[in-house]
Amino acid sequence: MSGMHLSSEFFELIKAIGESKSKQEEDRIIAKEVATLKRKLESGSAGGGGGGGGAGGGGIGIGGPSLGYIPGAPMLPGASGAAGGNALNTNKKKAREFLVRVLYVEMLGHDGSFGYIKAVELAASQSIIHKRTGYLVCSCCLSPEHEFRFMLVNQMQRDLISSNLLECCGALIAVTNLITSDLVGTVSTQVMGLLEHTAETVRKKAIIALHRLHQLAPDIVTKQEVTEKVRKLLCDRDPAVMGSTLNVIETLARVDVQPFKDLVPSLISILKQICERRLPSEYDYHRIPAPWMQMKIVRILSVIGKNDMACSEGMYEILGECLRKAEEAGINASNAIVYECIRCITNIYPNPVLLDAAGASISRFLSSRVQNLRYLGVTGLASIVERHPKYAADHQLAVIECLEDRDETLLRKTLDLLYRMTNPVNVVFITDRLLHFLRGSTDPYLKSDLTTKICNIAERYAPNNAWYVQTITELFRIAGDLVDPVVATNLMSLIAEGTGNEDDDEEADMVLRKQAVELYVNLLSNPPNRMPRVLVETLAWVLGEYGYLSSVMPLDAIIDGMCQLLQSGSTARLGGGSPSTRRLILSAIMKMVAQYGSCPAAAAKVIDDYTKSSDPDAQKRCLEFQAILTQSPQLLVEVFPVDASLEDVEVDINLSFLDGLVSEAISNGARTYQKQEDDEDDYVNAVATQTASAFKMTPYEKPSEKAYGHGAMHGMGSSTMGPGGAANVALPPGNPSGAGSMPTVSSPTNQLTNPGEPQLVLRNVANVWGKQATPVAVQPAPAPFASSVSTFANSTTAPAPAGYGGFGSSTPAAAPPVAPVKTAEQLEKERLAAALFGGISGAPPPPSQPASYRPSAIASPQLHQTISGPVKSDVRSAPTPAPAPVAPPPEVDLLGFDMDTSTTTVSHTSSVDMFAPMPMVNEPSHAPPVAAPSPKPAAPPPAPADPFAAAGLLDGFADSAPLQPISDALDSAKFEFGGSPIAPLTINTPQFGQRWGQCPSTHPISVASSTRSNTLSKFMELCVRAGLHKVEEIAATNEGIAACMAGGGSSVALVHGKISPLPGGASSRVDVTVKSSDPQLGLSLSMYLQNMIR
Amino acid sequence: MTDFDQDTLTKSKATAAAACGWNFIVLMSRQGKIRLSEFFSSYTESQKKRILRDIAADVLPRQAKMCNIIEKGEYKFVYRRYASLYFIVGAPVEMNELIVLEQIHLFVEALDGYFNSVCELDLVFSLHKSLMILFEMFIGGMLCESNRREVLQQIVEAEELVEQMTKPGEDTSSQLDDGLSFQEQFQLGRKPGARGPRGNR
Repeated sequence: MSGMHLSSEFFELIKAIGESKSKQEEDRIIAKEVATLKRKLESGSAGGGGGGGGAGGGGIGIGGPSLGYIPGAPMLPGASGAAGGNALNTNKKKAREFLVRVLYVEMLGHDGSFGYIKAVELAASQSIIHKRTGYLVCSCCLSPEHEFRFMLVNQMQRDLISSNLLECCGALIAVTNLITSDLVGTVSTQVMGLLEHTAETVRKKAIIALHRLHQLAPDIVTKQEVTEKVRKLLCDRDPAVMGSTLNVIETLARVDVQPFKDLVPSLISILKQICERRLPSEYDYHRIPAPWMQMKIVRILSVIGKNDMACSEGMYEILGECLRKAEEAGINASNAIVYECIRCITNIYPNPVLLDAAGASISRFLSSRVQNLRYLGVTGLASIVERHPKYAADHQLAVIECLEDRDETLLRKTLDLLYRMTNPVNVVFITDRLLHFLRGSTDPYLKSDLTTKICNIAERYAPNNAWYVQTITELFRIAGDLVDPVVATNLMSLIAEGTGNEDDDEEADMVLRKQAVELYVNLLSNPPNRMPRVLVETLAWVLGEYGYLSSVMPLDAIIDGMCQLLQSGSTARLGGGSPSTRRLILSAIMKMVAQYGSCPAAAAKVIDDYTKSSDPDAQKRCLEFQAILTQSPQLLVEVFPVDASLEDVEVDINLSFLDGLVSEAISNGARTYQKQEDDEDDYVNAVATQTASAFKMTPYEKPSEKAYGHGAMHGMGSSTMGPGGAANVALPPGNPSGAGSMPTVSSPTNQLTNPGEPQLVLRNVANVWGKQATPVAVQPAPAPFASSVSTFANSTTAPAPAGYGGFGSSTPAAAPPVAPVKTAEQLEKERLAAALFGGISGAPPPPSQPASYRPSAIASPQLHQTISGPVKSDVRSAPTPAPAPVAPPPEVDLLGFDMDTSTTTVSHTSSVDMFAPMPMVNEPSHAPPVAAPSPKPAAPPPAPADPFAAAGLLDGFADSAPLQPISDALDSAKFEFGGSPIAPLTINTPQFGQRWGQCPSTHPISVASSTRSNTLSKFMELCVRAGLHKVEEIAATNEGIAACMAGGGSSVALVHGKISPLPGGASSRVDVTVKSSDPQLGLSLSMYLQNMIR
Repeated sequence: MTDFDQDTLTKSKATAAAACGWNFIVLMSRQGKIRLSEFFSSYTESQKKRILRDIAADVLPRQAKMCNIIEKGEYKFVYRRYASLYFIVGAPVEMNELIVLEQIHLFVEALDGYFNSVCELDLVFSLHKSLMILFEMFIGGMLCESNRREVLQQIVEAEELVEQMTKPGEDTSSQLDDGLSFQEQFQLGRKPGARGPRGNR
């Protein structure tokens, strides 16, 4: 603290940092420095703030919080004037050094916040240099949300109107750096006033500050105001003010060019004057007259002249002159102007003479030895080549040379150029080059950029499909992690669909598939060390679907290869080895086994291994497959149909195959299904909870998915739990009085519970759902499991024989009724519960609920058995409708859960044995969500069924296929029919197509739309706002389809829209066809849409 | 700063520099030590750290003959090397690279004018002075004064004012003050002629 100048401490600090060898060492030094600085500050607050600081508000020390918001800030100057105490207070220079050191600490990435208060204090200093240091440190260090900024605002306000222009300037700089949107109002008037200041140095800062304020709060400092001021200052007599105004004009014009169009003549005349050296020579830079301003003006002209022939024409002359003069000088600064002119010339309305001049400049750049100029040359060429490809021809050699350059920046630009030059002729070569560079690249940004580019040009210019498949596969191999998953989907649909020409190209499609298969077979036989996930999954899908087409390798060898891949243990080859990838490979193996007709030993082993997998999904697949294979191998072909990935899965949404059961149940005295009053709401809920919980919990509090999942899981150490847990969870509070059957049911359940082990989660659940639910923790005694079930079954079947007779008869096993019985009680007890479970009386879903929700590991053998009963009979007795729904389920089902149940494995291994002999054939029928949603009435109007159907249609491969989103919020803009808003009809495209033909009434409209729906997305948005469900938006053909229903599902309406842009740009013609089951609905909807579109 | 702060930040420091001005400037010595850094547009702390890391990784190893531009997605580094010190500017993609290079040089010329043949140590010891010159020339990343004389005049005027405005009792000592007298640095142990770490190489 001795010296008055640079303290030796500071010098030593800098020296130590300069000599430090590592970041760690530097950090240590800085930590020490921070401690020193804090000490200084503290000693200051103790001595100076407490004792000597006599002035008002004294304590400058650390008391940040106590300072808080200072109303008038009298304290700051007061504090700074305080005498005595410590050196930081008395000696401004010390304080300043302190701040510089804080700044230094901050710059090296450490926290210097303890010193901020000092900076704020110094900003209030009388001395301008101290003040500026204070502002400076605040600008650099204070984050905009720091509370000290409130303290500074006051100071800034005063400095802005100070007569000392240095104070003004300091404050203006601080304003630009520190003001936040909430504080704009406090300084905007002052800043505005400074635009008229006599000193040009203030004006030039004020305009930028004003612009910043406008950006922060466009409502306080309006665009109009700024534009007005800017136009005035452009004509300022001082060149510097004009120069800084140009910055603002450029930024504003990039947002909205309109207000500046008429400035073209002024700008041109300014540029002309600059070119003619009319500015003071002080503005020259290396003898180029104000290159910054020239460049800025050219940039602004480029923005204004874009797509505007009239404006552009005015610029040609001056651009030519500017370019020529800059070319003459030949130094860096002038090259910058040349480059800017090139960009401007290629951007504005083209002029052949200028384009030629630009072309000449580009070739000069390209042939330069200076890397920077070559870089600019390549960039310039890229900008000109898109619209004027002829200029590329002269520079082929130069471009190739750049490609061989070691400089990566140049290389990248050249690759970008190549990308822009791509056309159908050179696409193969260019893609090859890009792939080559992608292979050698390590930079993540370059890699993702190249990947996107390759995808783009391959898609746009692919000479043939085989090439496309090959290229994309190679891309997957090199950079699979970076590829958009959509590309993989496209690739697979290309292989599946072929060219899309249905009639003539079937043969070509087969050739393509064959090529693809061979490509992947080769990949399989020589797998690279690392295979990205997307590659593995595509490979699995292609071979799974079309493995039989392979001619290079027999199918069983492919199966072996896949098994090896799966078991190789190298996760790198498995794209990270995620469970879903493994599942896909398993599915592929199964599909190929189905194609092959018998199960090779390797596949059998793999599948057997995976029956013990910890992934419940994979395990389920394998168990099902084993069951099918052992029980009824003839079903394999139906379950894994060949080349059927494109076929629509028909789902009998009415569950008509259960009609027999229903009528039987009714004839035995069961209640018929009561349609819920609040159909629509239930609908949404049903869809929403469909995937979450098979049990309808709507009447109670919203069930926490997680809690339920756990409950199910823990509760069911073994499968017995299914019905038991379900029953308990579902019990409404205080219900026992309901059905006569109830007590009997609940009591055995209670007996089953193991009071010693109530599960945490379950308790929560119990709290949510009522007292009765507490016993949920049915802990099946490990051994008695079979017997307990039978008790269970007996006790439950007894009370409700009438309603569920149908089951009983078709399935000897007693278990299934368990769930239904519970439901029956609830039906009687609680209105909502009745609504939820109502459908059950007519259909067999209840047993399938647990199955479709839980991992198969948990699904009890009993359940399987019982379920298999009815469904099996269905499959066999009615083979025609059955196959389709049966095929997809295993996978659909698998989509549903991602639960990882480590606990299940144990219990599972034991159940496997019991499992094998079970008639597993119909396991799939657990899966289809069709069966899952319990409330589905057997014979309701068709519409309400749809939401579920949507889920059932997910096709086998689509592990990632999104469920149709449920339209949520009701919108005021909704279209109303018959006094109530229409409801979105959640269907998918195939269903849409199906219904399209069924709707009797058609209402076509054709409207010219200017703005409201001149693009497809706007049109679709409009439909969604009206209350329709967006089924699909086909950007390629500019078509979109949407669907809705009215009257609670009694009538449906389908909308098809096509947008065709009209010549002239802005407006489009919208052709809409509304089809409806109800002519009234169709008519009014079409009229409504017509109005909305217009 | 958390990600949550990002929103506030965007609103405050704004995307001002977008397309028209620098996003940031960093002065880094050849051995990766930061000598000055200023971020004109808003970045979170983690973004700043990443930028600094990127600079050290991308710029420092480049060979002299390579071009002075490195593209990094939404911005690019444009750098210039003076002795052992790199001036690295983050500029928006659309910005003219050459003019950025010249702007860097303009800044260096101004520094040179002020420090009278500037060296790395000058910048280190008078960090705040360098920053003031920077702010005098570039407000919010936009070039607002390209006249070197004008810039220096502003700074010098301010320094002269100190003298007039300080009260009698206050410690004014010398105008070489703010602890930055180079003669004194030499006295404190800096060897004459050893200008910055360059000598150590």
